[in-house]
Amino acid sequence: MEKIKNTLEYLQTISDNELVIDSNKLAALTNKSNTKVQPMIIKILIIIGAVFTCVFSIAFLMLIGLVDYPIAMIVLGLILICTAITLTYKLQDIFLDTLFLSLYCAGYGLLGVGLASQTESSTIISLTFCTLSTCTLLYSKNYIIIFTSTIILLSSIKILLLEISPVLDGVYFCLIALSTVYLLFNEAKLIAFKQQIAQLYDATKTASIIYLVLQFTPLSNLYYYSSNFNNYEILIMEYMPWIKSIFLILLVLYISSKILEILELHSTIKKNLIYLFIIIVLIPTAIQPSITTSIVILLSCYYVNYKTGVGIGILSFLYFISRFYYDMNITLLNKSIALMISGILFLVVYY
Amino acid sequence: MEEISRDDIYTVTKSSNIDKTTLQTALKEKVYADKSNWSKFLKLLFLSLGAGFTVSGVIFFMAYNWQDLNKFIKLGLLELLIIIGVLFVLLSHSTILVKNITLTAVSLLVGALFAVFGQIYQTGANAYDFFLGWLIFISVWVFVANYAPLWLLFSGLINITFYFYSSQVAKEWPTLVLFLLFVLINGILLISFKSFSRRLNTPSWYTNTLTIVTCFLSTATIISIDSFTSETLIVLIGIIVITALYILGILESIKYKNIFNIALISLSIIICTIYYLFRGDNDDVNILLIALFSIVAFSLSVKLLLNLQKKWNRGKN
Repeated sequence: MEKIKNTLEYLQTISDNELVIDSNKLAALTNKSNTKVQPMIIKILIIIGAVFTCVFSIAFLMLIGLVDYPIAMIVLGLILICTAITLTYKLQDIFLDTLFLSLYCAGYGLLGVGLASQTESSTIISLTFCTLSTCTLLYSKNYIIIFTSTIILLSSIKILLLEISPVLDGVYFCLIALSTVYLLFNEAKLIAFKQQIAQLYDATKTASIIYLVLQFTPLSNLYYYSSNFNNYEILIMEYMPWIKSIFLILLVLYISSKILEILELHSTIKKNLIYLFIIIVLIPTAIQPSITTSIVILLSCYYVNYKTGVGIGILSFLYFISRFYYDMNITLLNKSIALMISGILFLVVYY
Repeated sequence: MEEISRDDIYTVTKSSNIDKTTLQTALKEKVYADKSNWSKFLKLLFLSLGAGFTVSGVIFFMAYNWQDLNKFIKLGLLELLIIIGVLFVLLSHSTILVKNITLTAVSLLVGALFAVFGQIYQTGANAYDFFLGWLIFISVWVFVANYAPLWLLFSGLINITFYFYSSQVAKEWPTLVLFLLFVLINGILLISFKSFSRRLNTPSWYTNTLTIVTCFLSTATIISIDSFTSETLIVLIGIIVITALYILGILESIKYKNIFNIALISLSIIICTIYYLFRGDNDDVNILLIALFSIVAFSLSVKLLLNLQKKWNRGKN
């Protein structure tokens, strides 16, 4: 309570207009806020619990013979998803989250299997998933459900685009990267804009960061095998990493211009030198856009002091950089020289 | 006065007509990283990138095993680098951070030195004595520097040494005994860090990593009891050790009002229970039971953790 009072006084001093406070609502929120803040470990526990429950309950339903009735699976899946959404809308007790998430994911699982045995095309499945997850985003207020449905939405759009052309997928990736940075940098605008968006904000932010990182793990390659490319597309696909990388480097430059503002560096020559340095360091990594992606995540999350994001950024950076050197097709000697040169370069920059 | 956090600003935002410029200023002034944060962050970033890249470059260079390079030059080069590093740490007037990172780099080079030695004299690159030597020769630096990444290297090396010892020398040890010894090693490390944490000032990410490792190993131990029922004594010791560790963990949680340990322990217990439920004949009823058990168990532990957190937060305010 003390802290909230301080915050209020502080906000009043920096605001131009008189702040109108709904004191009843504030009191209610303050009482609640102790339970509202979920530490990371509880979120992880909820997700692991939901995974276990989902796997075993779907296994049970398959064992009792539901697998022979696709229509029943589709109907049951829809019912489960709707129940989950309605329940999260009505009950807001976090301890039920495992139940909601299990119902929700099991629903998608059943629906997916059911639809897959009815139709050949994955377009219908991903369209259905898109619609359902968008509906969830509109109605649900629950952090973990919003998080899951954002990931489902982003992935099913990806599959839809892959059906049309793999080129679109690269463009889509750049768009997601751009909007993640937009989300992070425009926190104030988005939170103050509308209550609905404020509720979605935290979960979608984390989900899109995780989506970006997942794009470079073996998980995201699952869909590629089913697609057929024409010659023209193959040509573009060869340059796709470069296109992604150039886009991401531009993003890094934008972020660093913001950082330089904070560091109060105004000399144009120095600024240009720094930009040049960033480009020189990042261009060799262009065949692996993953490295630049993790740098974008790291810098932009540190900018807004978002600790989980910084953690994801550091871990993914370490993983991608070791993959990068592991996959590199040159002798160990050249690798070692490349590593030493870049190491010494960084040390020089430090001084 | 406590610092104003992002959550506080959010709470006020939800119940007032605050405009976006005010909110932007508030976030910028109170939450976002400022100039000193950034310069600290960038310094740490460049320094660790520089040290990391250079050291891995040197290690790759040695791994290349250049035939034309005389073995004395190879060993001498590494030793020279190590001596320069140590002299730098001892004599220069740089900040403690720079010295710590240098010492970490030097400790990694000691490993490279042992590896090159093993390469030249064909003692094998993964012999346990290689890691043991590395461990012993850096341990003084680790204790003196008291720097978390060095501690991480140190505890990693203890585990690796023991792993290779068990696979090269003590081959006849059963899995259960192995797991149990791993639990003991990491448990002892964890307990000693926790009991000296005030004096050592270890960051929480390091002790949390150790806690996760210990908890994971304990879970593996309990699961491996299943295939090892002949020696009741060892099984009994295992159960007693792990129970003791878990009780200590819970007591520590209660003392410092932190739910982390309790969350991990409940996760471990639930996974073990699910394993032993799943192990038998799996008809559909059994699987339904497991699904029901898992939903109930996870929900209840989340409920318990939330209640504890609520209670403890109130105590803090």
